[in-house]
Amino acid sequence: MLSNLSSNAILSKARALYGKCLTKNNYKDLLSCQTVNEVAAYLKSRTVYEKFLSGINESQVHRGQLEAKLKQRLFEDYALLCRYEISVGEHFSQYLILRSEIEQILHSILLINAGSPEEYIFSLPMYLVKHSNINLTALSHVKNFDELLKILEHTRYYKVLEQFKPISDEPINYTGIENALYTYLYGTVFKAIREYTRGGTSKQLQEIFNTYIDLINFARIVRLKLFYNSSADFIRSCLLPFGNMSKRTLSELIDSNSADEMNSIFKKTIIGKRYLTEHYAYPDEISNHAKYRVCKHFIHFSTHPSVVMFSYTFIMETELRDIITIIEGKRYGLPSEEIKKLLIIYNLSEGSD
Amino acid sequence: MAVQKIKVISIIGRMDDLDEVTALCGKSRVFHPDDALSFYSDTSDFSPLNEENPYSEPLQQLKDALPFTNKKLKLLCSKDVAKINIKTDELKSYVEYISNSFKQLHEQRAAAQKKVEIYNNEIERISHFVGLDLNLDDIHHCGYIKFRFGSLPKESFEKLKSYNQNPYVVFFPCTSDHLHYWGVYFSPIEMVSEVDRIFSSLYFERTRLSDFTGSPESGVKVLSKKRDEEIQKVKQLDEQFNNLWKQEKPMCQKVYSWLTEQSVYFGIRSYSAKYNDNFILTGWIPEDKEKYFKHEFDKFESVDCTFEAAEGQLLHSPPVKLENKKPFKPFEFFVDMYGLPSYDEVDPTPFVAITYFLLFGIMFGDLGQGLCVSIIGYLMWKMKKMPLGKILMPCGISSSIFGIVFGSVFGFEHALDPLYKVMGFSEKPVEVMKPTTTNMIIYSAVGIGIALVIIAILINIYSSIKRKNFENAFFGPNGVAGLVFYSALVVGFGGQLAFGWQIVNSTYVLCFIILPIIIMFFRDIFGGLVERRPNWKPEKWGDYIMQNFFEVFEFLLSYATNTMSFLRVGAFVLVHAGMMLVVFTLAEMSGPVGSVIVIIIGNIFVMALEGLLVGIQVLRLEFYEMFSRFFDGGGRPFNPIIVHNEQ
Repeated sequence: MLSNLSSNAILSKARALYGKCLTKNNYKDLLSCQTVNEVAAYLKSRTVYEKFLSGINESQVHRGQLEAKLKQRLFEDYALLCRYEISVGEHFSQYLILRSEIEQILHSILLINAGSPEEYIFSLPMYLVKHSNINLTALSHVKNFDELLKILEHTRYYKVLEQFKPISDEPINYTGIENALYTYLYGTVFKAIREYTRGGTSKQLQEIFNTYIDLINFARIVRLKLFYNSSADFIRSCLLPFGNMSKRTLSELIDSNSADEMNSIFKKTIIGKRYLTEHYAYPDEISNHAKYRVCKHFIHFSTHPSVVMFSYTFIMETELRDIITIIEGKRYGLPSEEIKKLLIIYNLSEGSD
Repeated sequence: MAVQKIKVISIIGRMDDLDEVTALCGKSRVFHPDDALSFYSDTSDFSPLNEENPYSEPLQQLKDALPFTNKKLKLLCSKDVAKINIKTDELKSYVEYISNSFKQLHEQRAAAQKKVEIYNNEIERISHFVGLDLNLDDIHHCGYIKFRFGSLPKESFEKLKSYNQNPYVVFFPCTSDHLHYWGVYFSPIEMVSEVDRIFSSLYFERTRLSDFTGSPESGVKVLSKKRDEEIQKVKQLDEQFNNLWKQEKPMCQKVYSWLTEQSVYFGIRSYSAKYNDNFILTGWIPEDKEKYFKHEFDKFESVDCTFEAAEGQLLHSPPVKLENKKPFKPFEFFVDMYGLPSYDEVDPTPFVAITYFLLFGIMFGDLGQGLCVSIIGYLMWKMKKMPLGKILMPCGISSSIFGIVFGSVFGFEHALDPLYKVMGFSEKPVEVMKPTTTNMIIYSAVGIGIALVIIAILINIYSSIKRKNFENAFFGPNGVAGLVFYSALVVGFGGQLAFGWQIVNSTYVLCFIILPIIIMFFRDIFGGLVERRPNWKPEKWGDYIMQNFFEVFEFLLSYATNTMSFLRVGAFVLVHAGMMLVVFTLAEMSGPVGSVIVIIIGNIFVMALEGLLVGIQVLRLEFYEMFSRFFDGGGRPFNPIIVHNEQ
């Protein structure tokens, strides 16, 4: 009982951290920057990222270095909140570590496929090494999938990856591995929700994850069907086996032939009605928009520590994605108006332009 | 309750005499100029004087020449300025000369200083590579190998240790700080783009040393020598500047003082108006200076001046200068903070001084702490010239006096017992923490509130009659009607509760409660009739009744809330005793040494916290419960033209 009450510290801690998020004016200032160096200088001098960017030289900053530092902040904030989440902390604190490890494994596989696995070391985020259960440094020495499996032999990922071992000279099934790993990730999350949370906490956490997964599945169907003209079976194998969408709806979506038809089917679902109201530039953006909107609602109104903790983390991820969008945009010389269209928080937050 | 009596002075004369007139007005140090045109109804033949101030440009030039240095120009006294006899053209050319001389020296110094910074940066850059046994000339001449100097984040350096796929990817560290390693890597020319790509992905930051020759050590030496030369140059320029300043300072001060004086006097011209070849200048002067001005202007043949009492010019909002006796003077700070009284309004400073003094003492009664507050106030005034310090001095004395009444010295509640015995008392007069005394303190606080609210209403009646605002004086909530209503409630119901007086009957209620409410309700109409305003009748009776219903309701509530607000006076008496009780309980729990420390820290804490709280709360009572009943604070300050501060 007492430990449950202690978790309530997260409510104020996460909201205090949320108060330090970038404001619409910050985004305007960032958009008006001319170069990546100016963006870095602004983040270093005028925002909460100051502490994390103290080591970088803003006049010669590398885009990758900047992104790594920003991601480190997200990771440290999450670790900070997990300390307070005493009731179910150890189960949920694994989420971000699991996801980061999966991202690293996938990155390593990509490099194996590209024939330069040794370069994995260059992009390895060192802050993750001390938190991770797998030997990330060793991933830079792998030369093929077998060696990768050997390194992951005593980890939870071994069983998931074992079935994807390529026979003779077949290329590695990256899409299958990606789907299997993320299925494992969300399976673990839903298991923790079922076993360690009850009532409002469980309901709200399920809403966050189910909404996100439904929209990811919808985006995958749109992408695979319309852009790659993939077969129905392949599309089904690429979907995450979670979410609120019924099998019938999923089948209807897979069987449909045009974007309009897909939209009209999806609009009949509860999530579709709520989030498919606006025109979208590319299908993947809907899931991130929806995740931000759900999390923003919960960080304002939820009274459940775990929900607020996840909401804050996902909002920060969105902020990070927006900053990276700005950095990428500036690097490739995109006009500010075009970059602005791609931002999530800027376009969904209140206040006039 | 005094506002200095002032008069409006109108000066008319020939344009040729205007400069002398403005100089005379300025030198008087009591002339507050006002827009002459606003004093006349028909200004069609007048035109304002919009001239460019010929002294402002050289004055600005002189001021601009010095901000780069730590030297400051000071105004000489008016007697010394009067002795200055230099032609305007000569002054201007002198200003030109001195400002150019200063600027030139400054520019030379800034350039040298900038070079010092550049050399420092270069030394810092190259010093990271001191220790690498390399000759930069040899490296520059390498035909088949490319080299890159720079820094690598420590994290990347660690990563590099795990990378052994490319034999050309080798980094030679030289120095390090807590974030980076500084060093160099080499690569064969044909491999350089690949090696550069790898180092780039490790966030390598390149430092270009192509300008340097020899070893890094010799580079540092050469640069250090150049930097020292520039530092020497800066010192020489500083010396030159000091010599020039020493030589020119007297003249500079003279020119600056003269130009300032002429510029300020010329500024007075902008208030005057022109009529053919004549001018009109209007302003405000203290009443007792009338003779001085009369005497001075009699010396001019073509200048004439007239004086009129400010009471006759209330429409022009005569400026206000508060004039209070010495003990009340510090409290002008609070009145000024709220807003100065209008010229025909009562100055509340003495009222504030007395009530603030008493209330602060009652709420913060402690002999020892009170004396400390006085000393702190004295130091604040003496050392920092803080006006609040002057207020704290009497407040501390008040605290001490009430501390004797409550028998409290630094929280020791029985330290003064021998004194009371000598004075013939069996114990201290007021034992704050006794239950019976507690009730008495609360009732007394309400009593103080009632008395102060009644005094505030009486001041309002006096002030309103003085300003001929009869509506406010007789029919308003802070006028006679309000006074009767409030007093009737206090005497009738308060008397019944406290003393058992049975005076409230239907006639009493009708005459002293209902009737004043009706008068307050129709105050605008009664006021209009008494003041013979033609528009006394409301335009819409429905709106009038609706609006006044809520207003009267608010007035009635405000009597209760204002009075109850004074409960805080009693509450703070108890708070002080309570807080000191906590300090002493904590002290008892500590050892003999610990208890002394707890008592000292506790006293400092209570003194700081309570001093601040009581100071704010009393000010709140003054501003909200009392000022709101009789004081508008719509006056403007009397700001005469003063050039020199020395007199």
